[in-house]
Amino acid sequence: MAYSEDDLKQDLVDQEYEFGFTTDVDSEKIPKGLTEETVRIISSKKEEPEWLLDYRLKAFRVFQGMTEPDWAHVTYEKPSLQDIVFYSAPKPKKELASLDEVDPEILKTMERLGISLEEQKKLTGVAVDFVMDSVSVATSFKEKLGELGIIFCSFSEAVKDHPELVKKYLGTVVPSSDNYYAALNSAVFSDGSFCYIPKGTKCPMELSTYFRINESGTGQFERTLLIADKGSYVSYLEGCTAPQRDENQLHAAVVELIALDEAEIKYSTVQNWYPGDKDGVGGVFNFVTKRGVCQQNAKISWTQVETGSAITWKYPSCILKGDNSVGEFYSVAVTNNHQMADTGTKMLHIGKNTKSTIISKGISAGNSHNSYRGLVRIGKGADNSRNFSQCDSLLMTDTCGAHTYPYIECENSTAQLEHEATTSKIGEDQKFYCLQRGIGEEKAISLIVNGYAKEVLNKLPMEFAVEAQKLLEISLEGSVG
Amino acid sequence: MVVLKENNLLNSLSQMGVGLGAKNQAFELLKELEFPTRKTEDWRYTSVKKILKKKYVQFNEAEQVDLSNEIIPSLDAHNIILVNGVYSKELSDVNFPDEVVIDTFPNAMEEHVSLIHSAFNGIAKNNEEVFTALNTSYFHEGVFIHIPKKVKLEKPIHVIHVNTKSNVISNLRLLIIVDQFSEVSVVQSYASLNAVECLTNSVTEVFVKENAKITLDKVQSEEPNNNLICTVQVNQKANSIFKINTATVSGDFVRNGVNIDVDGENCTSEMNGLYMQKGIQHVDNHTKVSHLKPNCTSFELYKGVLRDKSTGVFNGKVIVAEDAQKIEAYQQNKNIILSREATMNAKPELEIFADDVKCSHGTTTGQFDEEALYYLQTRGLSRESAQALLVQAFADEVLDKVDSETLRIWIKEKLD
Amino acid sequence: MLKVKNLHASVGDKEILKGLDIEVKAGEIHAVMGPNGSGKSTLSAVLAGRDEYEVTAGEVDYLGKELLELNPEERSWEGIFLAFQYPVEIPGVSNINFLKTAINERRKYFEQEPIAAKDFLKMVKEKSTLVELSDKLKNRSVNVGFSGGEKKRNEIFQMAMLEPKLSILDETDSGLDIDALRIVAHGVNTLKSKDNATIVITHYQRLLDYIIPDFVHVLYDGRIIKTGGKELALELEEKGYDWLTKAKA
Ligand SMILES: Nc1ncnc2c1ncn2[C@@H]1O[C@H](COP(=O)(O)OP(=O)(O)O)[C@@H](O)[C@H]1O
Ligand SMILES: [Mg+2]
Repeated sequence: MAYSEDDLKQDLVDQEYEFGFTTDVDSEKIPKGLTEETVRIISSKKEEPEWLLDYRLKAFRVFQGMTEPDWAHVTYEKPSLQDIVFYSAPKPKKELASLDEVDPEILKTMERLGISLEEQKKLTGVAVDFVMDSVSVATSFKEKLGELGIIFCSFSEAVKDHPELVKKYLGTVVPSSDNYYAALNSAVFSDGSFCYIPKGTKCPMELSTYFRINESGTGQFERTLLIADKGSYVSYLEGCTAPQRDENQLHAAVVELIALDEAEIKYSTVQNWYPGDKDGVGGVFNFVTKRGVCQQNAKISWTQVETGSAITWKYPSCILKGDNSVGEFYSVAVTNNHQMADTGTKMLHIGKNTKSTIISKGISAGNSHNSYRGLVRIGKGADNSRNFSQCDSLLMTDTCGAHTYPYIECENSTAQLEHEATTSKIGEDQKFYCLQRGIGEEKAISLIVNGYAKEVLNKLPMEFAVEAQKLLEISLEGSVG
Repeated sequence: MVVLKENNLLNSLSQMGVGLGAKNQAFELLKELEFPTRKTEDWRYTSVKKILKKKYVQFNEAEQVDLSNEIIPSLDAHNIILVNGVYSKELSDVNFPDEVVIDTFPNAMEEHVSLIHSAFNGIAKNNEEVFTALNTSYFHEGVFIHIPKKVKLEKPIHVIHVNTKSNVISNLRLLIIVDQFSEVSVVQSYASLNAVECLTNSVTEVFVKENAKITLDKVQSEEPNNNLICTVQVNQKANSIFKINTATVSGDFVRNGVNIDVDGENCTSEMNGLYMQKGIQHVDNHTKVSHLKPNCTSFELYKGVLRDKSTGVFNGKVIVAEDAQKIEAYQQNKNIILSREATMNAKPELEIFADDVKCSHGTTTGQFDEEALYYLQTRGLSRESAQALLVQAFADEVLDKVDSETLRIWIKEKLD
Repeated sequence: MLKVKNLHASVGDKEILKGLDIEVKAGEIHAVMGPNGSGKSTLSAVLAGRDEYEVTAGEVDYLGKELLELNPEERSWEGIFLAFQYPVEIPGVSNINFLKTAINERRKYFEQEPIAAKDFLKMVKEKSTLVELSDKLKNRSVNVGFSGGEKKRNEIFQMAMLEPKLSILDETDSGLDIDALRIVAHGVNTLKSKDNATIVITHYQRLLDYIIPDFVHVLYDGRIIKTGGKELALELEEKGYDWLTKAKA
């Protein structure tokens, strides 16, 4: 055979990040660095009202008093905030009346991402809010949603058109003082998505946002605020990619979910930011704060597939405030090469009869480190609350690490908590079984890994599930020596 | 060192005992170390504020006391007695086989100086654990146990520690070396006789050499209003077996640390614990197994029943080092909360740096199965006795790990 | 079809196969019998290419190719099928998806288009009837939650789907009740043709009442110590292995 296993390995090492391309569009940047002035410039460029500038400035002051956190098993050179461009908007040539007027370069990018708006338009059931760098470029399906009273727009638009909603809920779930990166985001967030589902309304389609970091040296600080009013339902998809670059890019988002009485929010993420190359050069630093609050009988379900970023630090959480509320967390996190992921969830049980479920599947390959860190707290008043957690880790190489750090705190004698975790190697027997049936090693691994992650992948909406499966495959290619 | 404003603990101590160099080093170290606060990750759920506030008295002579309650009558053991932290030759058994050493450091030094020097303080984590540094610095004469090669000590060694005066601080120090192909069983019990507000700070170093085996049973039954910090530091060499069972019966503040470095292939390590808490008792069990070499197995089972206003902590960590392949590590922690005011915090951790491993942990916190209770009630048991029966069955799973039946019965009696 | 000459194989320092010879022609059924630990599963694993076992000497010719040069999946594509003594569970991967992947990987090797969904489903239906495998099992994860008998039937189902040239059944009869045994044997007999061959590994004669072998070999201590016709199996059933092994020693 001419094509040897070594050739194959080499091919896989050389394989480029599938989405590693940059788009050439004129973009308007402000100078690098972070001062109070930066915050003011961002706010004024966006023509924001006074109260929002105040909100930002307050957050900035809190931020100045904070120090950057350190985490076990996550080591990296901290991004220098003075080298980051905090605002970059694709320069609009004119007001966009329809999609056809969107910069063809941008459209091309979208196409390469496999989410061209043209296609998406035809694909009924998906409305896309596309965030390139910091400004939402185009939003589809707006009219259709509008008829139902559903608001789905960029964050900046929401500030202009629905200030009362933004003002009422912004920062109520993630206060700007919550942590270093949340404070930073609150001061300098550029844009993001806003969504409001009115009372008793079931959103008829999956709402989808693609985030993408394009401009080199820009940090992306998007802000998402999603409010599901009483008795409503929404499923929200978020996909993230970034082009390939040598330097590290910072991404520090804040997502706030509010599920009022009887409401249900399903929030799914497929995160595929550029993970850096095989030597760990470049890649996105992904420090995200995601949290939702559930009122009575409400439900929030987080599903995430994390394959990207050099460093991921992320704990989508649920505050189960209302009685009978439900929180769920389903996660697959894959790390390869020099990636580091520290992810998990917090389930804070406050109301009575609250329930939470945590299913976390970690997959570590290369020299990567993959940690699950989670907190389940049953408060004094959370009678008859239940939690079930299952955290599994799969190891692909002897140079990676997999770590599990659950915190389980119970202050109520009527609660029941169950936590299980396992760590094991990908099964040699399973691999040989596949080989014997004629399924080659790479394929066998992808089959086994996908099977292992099935429980979580099944929670994703169809369109995403297929993409997620493909991503797992791509991320692990060449990972087994 | 940052002297806490109210650190009377340190102010009440003065150095004494043998002049081992390590003691001076620890003493110096102590000046730099800080006492843990709730911000210290390993002490997140356990506050030592109250302990540090108190004033203590140190003893350097053993009292004559009546220990009939503490000696297990039907346990045919070599009883070694420490009163208020001080070894009592009068009360202790000295009839053990010639080749075996059980004595204070100063006495044992005469013949075994190089052995003691090679091992003592070798694995104690003075620079990480301030209470260990405190112990090293201030312990009185300590006890040295050496089981030489190819000796199987038939009778168990029972190290009994009692505090007989209030406000006593006892820094107990034990060094156990089990040499190649040897076997021994050691029981350590902690009690107080009409004494309150004491602090017992016990550090045990255990060296388990190649093909050796040791079982360590700890029984903690201090009277309420006493504080106990117990650290066990273990180093296992190839083909050895180490087993520790910790039963916490009483004592208002109990902190147990068990750290095992499995430093050889084909070892088995086992840790079991039972805590039955009442009143305002606070019991914290921290365990850490570091698998440094391949082909080893570790098992862990900790169970607790929490009543009244008690609080429990379980923090079990399993580390598998790089290249320590073919490790199997299993950990279970189960808790039953029987009172609205009790709190349980569990934190099982896995840190895995090798790939060919099978590790798992599980923890549950909850109540008794209502159906089981109901079933027993339909069979004529009152709810109370049904619950008592289930508690017993729950505890038995751990107690069954205690090999000696005599000891098991003795613990059960204490629990009742 | 298969010529094994002086095969030596070991795990670590331990030699398990110690000079084994066997020849199998198309259209034949061979039974390999022997006490526990004699090396039967090792033989099957070596033929299927499990790299845990190191071949230290010997040659294996398979359809004119050096079998030992091929990696496991190539052997599979070339028509070698191993029914495992202990079929492996693969959680989350449906039986159907697994087989479809396997078939398409092989088709890719022969530069054929992936199988059409319609044809695949038709084949599944036909072959699963053969071993009476219920629909429920077809869609479940590979072997997960299957009973012992279901796992063995699933192995034969996979064999039927993959249409091998040389099948090696490693103790497919162990743990089966009479009904299951009959189903399995029926499957094997139906799939028999003049172009393929089967090696049946067993240590009971029972299965051989249903699958009639052309040859019976006794494997002991890593070697074939006796070869005979189907009556040898009966003789073994009656007298055990002692008379052979003693004579050998
Ligand atoms: N992976 C292995 N590692 C160590 N010894 C093995 C391994 N596989 C088989 N053996 C040993 O080789 C011998 C033959 O095993 P096997 O081929 O399974 O026998 P059989 O299938 O005839 O019962 C036995 O002694 C067995 O213990
Ligand atoms: Mg076998």
